[in-house]
Amino acid sequence: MNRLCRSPRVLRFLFCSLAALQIAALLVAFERPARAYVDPGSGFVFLQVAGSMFAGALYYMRHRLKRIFHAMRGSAEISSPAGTQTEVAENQP
Amino acid sequence: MSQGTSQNIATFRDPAGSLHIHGDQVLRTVHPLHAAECLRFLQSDLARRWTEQGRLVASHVLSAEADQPLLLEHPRVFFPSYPWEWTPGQWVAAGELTLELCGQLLHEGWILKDATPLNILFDGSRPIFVDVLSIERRDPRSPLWLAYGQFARTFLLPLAAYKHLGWPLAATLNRRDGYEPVDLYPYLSTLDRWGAPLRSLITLPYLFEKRKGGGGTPPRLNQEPQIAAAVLERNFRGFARALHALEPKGRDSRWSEYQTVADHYTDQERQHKQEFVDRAMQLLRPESVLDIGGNTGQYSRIAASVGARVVAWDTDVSSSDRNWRQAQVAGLPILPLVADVARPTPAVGWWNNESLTLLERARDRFDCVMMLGILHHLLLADQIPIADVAMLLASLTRRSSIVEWVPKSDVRYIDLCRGRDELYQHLDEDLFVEEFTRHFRIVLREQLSNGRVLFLFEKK
Repeated sequence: MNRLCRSPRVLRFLFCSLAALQIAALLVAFERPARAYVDPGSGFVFLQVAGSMFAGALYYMRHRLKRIFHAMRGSAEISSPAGTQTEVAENQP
Repeated sequence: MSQGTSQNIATFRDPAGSLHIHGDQVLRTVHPLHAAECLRFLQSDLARRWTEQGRLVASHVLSAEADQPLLLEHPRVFFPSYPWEWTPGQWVAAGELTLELCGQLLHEGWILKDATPLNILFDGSRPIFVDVLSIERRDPRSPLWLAYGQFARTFLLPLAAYKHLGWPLAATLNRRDGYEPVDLYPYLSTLDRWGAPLRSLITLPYLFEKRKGGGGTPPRLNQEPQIAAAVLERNFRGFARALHALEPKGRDSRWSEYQTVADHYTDQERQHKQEFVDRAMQLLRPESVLDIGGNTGQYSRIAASVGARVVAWDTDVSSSDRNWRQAQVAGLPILPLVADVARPTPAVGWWNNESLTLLERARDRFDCVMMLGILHHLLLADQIPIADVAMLLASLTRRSSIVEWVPKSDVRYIDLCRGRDELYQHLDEDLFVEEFTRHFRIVLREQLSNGRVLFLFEKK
């Protein structure tokens, strides 16, 4: 199971699903009207929305990826005998 | 302004408040609904810091009572100017200030709700943000800056039109809300349309608007607050990159090298003229000087060196831009404007009342007005009667004036006369002195070896 989770295919699928979910969630949030007293310009707003969604998805993915890698590195270090030995060695007086 | 008419109100479009100008008093009324938010911003560290740095106009609270309009007083900026009188460098500096302010507001939970060059004035060579009502609380979950459309229309597209199509920035006089992508798109080459930054500034918005048929309710977008702030910050960096990509390269004009290549002046004569202006300035010690036909600012800088704040008008964009850049680098209180004394900037807008004419702003504002090497242009090229020039000068200055008389034998006079000698045969120094001494007394008169004559006049 652990090996399956680390497979590149599964990871790619997971990331793509997360990105799709994020975009879908952002699309759902399109409903309320804006309260700008200046004309936001539909073309400019469209580009800003598209750019912001893309950038938001990237930031979100990066954040998620960092967490996954931290979690994986953490579990790898704990399960590694060498890591355990080092920790033990360092903790000895 | 939500009630009454716009008469006698300097700004009235913002529903949050209005601005009234009475002489040197600038009063702002803030609607009770927005009063608390406005006060909160004015009391913030950011507002205090920006005011101290001279980048945000100072605000003095006159009255702040519950459920009543908030009354603020601002100091009057010495010489109000409009974007259609700015040089390309001034446009970019004003855009930079807008984005920088927006970037700093973001971290404190605020944002600009509008972004037009009309929110900026120049205090000497430095831009200053004057519309405190443009600042509002930000929705922390929104990564959109809704004023970006206005920023693009009023800052980026005029600069793009100037840089890529050669449309003068002065043409924005008739475009309160700037240009739309559709205004520029048909005139751009395919290469320009798909190159950065015009691709995302003109082509894609144009194609989207064409397909969608315009308008509709603008969308809202919600993200986690940290992500929304990071996205906004990234967007501001992108807008700043676009602004700098549109900064026109310094262009030379036939006037921008005038001071160094003018062949009707020897170095000695030029030095003699500078010494005369310097001596006059030492004698007058003016607090304010108007330099009409200021070119690249050689004489404006002499006036600034005695502590005067200087406004320099010139019709040449390149020369004025060079003047502004030098003043900005040296931190001099010189405001160069692209303005023509023979065709002064008119009042525009609703009721012809949203901006002041050039002459209204200048009348009686200056201790000294300089007209060096410009009088023969007014008389011969613009065909203004000499008596009118003298009268105009007397209306602009409170105390004195420095004028250069160019004789008929001068090579530049002959160039401008273009064979119409008969028409101007009455113009000579005697007539000049006769007309000017109706309003002024002669304090100094010095003739240069090239025949030109420098006068220092004192107003009667």
